[in-house]
Amino acid sequence: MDIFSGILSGFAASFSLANLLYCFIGVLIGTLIGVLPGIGPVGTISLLLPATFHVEPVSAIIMLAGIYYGAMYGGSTTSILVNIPGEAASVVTCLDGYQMARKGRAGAALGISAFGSFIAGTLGVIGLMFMAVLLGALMIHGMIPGPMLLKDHPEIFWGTVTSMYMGNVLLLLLNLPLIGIWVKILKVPYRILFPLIILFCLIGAYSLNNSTFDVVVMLFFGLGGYLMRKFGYEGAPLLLAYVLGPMLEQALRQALLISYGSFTIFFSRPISAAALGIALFLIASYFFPFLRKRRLKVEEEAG
Amino acid sequence: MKTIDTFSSLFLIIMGILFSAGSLRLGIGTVNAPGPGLIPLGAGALLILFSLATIVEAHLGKRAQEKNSLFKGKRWGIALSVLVALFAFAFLLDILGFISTTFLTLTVLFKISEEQKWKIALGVSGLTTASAYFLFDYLLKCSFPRGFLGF
Repeated sequence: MDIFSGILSGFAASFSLANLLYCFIGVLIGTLIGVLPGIGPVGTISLLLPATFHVEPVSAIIMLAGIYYGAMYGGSTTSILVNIPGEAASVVTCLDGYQMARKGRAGAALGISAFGSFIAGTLGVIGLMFMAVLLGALMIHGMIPGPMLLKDHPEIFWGTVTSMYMGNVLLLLLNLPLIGIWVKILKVPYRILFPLIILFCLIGAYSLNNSTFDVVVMLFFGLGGYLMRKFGYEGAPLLLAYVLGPMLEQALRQALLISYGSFTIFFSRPISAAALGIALFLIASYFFPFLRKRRLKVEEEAG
Repeated sequence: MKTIDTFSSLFLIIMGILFSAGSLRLGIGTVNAPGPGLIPLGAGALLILFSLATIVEAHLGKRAQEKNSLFKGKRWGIALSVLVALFAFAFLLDILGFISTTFLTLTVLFKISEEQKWKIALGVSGLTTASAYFLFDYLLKCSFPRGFLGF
């Protein structure tokens, strides 16, 4: 019952006109930041933190949170339209979204992305870096983050949670009508767009650490990606590997710790055994004759 | 396809060997206390294995006609010059400063890779440099390098 009264009080707090305004400002700035390379949500939140000193703590957190997921959505906009991810999280959006855009379905891709962020709203995982700045903001306003925060200042917690729903609604309202305008960007002739995209990438790579070395690293990997394309290697699995690799290693270590060094734990535990079984089957299916023919045909059609 | 697969797989095999050697140096530890090199060793071994399999498959299978040489045609020269221009950008950024380098690079890109007329190339790159400078340096306060010319 406590939770319901909490949520209700949270909605009451975030529905106030001032907080709605702060949420809207945050979401607007966030989308712009997400679309532009070179500065990310964490950097923006840090820059705008002093601007929130004089407002209510709830409003401050609401605005800063709005910046964060506005940036997440803005990043997916550029991923869909020009195949350049605005944020690290939007890289996967590039894979499907850009293909849809190339087939003339950019509007649908943007719409799905907006709705997707809306449904996945609080329930998503908020990055650690973002949380660190947010904790700093809380402490500046005189609140000690921790288990007592919920008891001493419930309006902060519930206000933030409900503002995330509000923020996502605002994002939808803000972006859905604008999809038409965004799609027009695609109509810019590629001859003009291409150098601009490159410029954005260069600036983005440079401004992370103010280092030209970063730019050179980016160019080397760009060359690698180009060669991969030429030689027919798929980029998507490499991407997945980059994301999943560290997670795999950590999980392996933890599992080995639990099993005192025995590898049989991966087969004795039912969930792990089932997952491994499916994986092995998928790998072996590469060699099944009837699937081979089908796959070769698909590969040839895909060109 | 055959030559491409063979050469790229050979490259990956060499990478896999270097990778595994490096991870041995890191120390693989024991299974009870895995060292930092354990998983990279496994990954390197898998890389070598799969590359070998790719080479074998490339030579055994009945493939379609080999595609035309990949690096033929004018576009390849353009791609190379774009690459050189970008590396030059990184190199010159600290020397000439943001504004000059960006303007030069954009002009080169517009002119060489997209073959615009001089007027359009200079005009659009000037406009873009100005807007980029305004947006990133003035509004967003990203600090760009200033060259020996002072800007």
